Amino acid sequence: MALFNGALLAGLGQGLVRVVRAVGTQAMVLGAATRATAQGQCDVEELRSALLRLGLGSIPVVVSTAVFVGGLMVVQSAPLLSRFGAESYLGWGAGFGILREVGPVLTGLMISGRVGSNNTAELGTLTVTEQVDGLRALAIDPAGYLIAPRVWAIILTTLIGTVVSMLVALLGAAAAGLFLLHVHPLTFYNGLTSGMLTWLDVLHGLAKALAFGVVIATSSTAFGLGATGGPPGVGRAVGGSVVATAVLIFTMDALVSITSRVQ
Amino acid sequence: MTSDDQKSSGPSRDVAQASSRRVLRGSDYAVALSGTQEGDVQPMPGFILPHDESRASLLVTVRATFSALRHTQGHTVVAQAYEIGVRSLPFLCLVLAFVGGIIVYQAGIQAMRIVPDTSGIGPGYIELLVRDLAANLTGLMLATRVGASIAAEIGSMKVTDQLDALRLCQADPVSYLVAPRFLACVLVTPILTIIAGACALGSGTLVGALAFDIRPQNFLDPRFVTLGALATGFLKSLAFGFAIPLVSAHAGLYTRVGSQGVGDATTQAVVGSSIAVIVLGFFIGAVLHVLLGGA
Repeated sequence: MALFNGALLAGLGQGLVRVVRAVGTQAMVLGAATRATAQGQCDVEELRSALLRLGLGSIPVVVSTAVFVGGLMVVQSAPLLSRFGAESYLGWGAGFGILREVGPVLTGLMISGRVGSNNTAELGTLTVTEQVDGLRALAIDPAGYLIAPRVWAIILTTLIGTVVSMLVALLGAAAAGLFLLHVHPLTFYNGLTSGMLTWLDVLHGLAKALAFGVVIATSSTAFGLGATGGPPGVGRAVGGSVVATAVLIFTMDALVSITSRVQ
Repeated sequence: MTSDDQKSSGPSRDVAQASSRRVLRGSDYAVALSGTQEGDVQPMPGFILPHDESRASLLVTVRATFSALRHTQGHTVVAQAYEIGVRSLPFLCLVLAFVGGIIVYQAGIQAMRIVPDTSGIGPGYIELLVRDLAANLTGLMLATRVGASIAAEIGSMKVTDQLDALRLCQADPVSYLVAPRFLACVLVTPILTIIAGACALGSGTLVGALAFDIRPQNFLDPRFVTLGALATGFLKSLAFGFAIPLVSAHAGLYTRVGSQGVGDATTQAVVGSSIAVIVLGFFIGAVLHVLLGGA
């Protein structure tokens, strides 16, 4: 068939090699971080500063996104609810979406945009200015000094950020329900706690957050350390990292959703 | 230095003019370069951007971009439409197909929890897709993919002094770099939204058929899709097409010089345009919901 000419096959093969290489590099990053931590070489001072810089820095983005995401959920479910006159289900519908799907995914995307790309930019800068080699020359292990603190800080930030954003998004949804659909917050709360949502749903969201945290941390670190070619190379690395992380987030989302059959 | 100036000879007059002349601004260079008459001065749009960057604001970039649209050449727009549209398509389709499948799966599980009736899933899903989901998700993904690439490209040119080189060549950075990306993004985003939405529809139908035994004939039932839903979706995708390139190009144009600058600009573009998509999506959805008589 003319469709399967050499160029197409070559393109597919190159794409496959790129994907395998990216996943392999990320596994190596995670392995290096675990090894360094197990050997007690994870730099605590760096971990603290990474948590402050990356974690605290992302709170405004996460909170402001979450408010509007909560509102968005209400706006999205408004026609369905008013069609069936099922306003008492608003709390359940919004809560279900926020806790299981939208909360973790959007927090993951925003943290990938804010924290992940910041991490890639910093590591990329260190790499293209050969400061990573400088560390090695000083007999400082980059795995313990650069990789491990950042990886743990990003995973922790994603988990905490998801919890915060779930709470804020629920508040935003309650507010949007009050102002747009005239649903009393108490009705919203009753719908939320009517028993159709359990802690398993929250756990489901947190499992996703953990998976996204790992993906964001390893992908942004791998792209940062792989940057080449001066400042434009850092920019390219950031762009590549953000796109790869987005694809991985949705892949993990599908994986976690389908493997955990919480009925 | 207009042609009038050149005709008027005499050193004393020149000196008098020079001493009374205010500090040269960008528009003066533009006039000097393009050599037009004083009457029809058309400062080139790139020079509208303030040279001291402390006055930089998104509004200035937006104004400069809109006034640069007249100078934009068609073939650059086509090239950018290919770059933004065709190159983003695999990424977009992959993500939307994943999300569509997940949403149908989750909605199916929830529907089974209350009443074992799956007939509402398909129509409800299609309505959600048309009104919100396709536009919002495409917008978010474009904010990531296109926002990052616009900021990284323009930012790299900024830190390697290529923007100044363009100015020297009398090619204005805004009409040469920003306006084509802006136009291409505005044109391409609605089209991408439709294609990506179709992917999500396909994967949703597939998941419905495989996991819940919903026949595709019953799933693909557009009875809830109203004109208002179509208008909301289209308006959102258009608004995202406007916002993403402007926010990202702004971040790229004001990249700080230094090795961390481009990375920071890219971060700023991704975060800024993602927030723009979420906030615009909420407001357009809320306003149209109220206008179309929902509340």
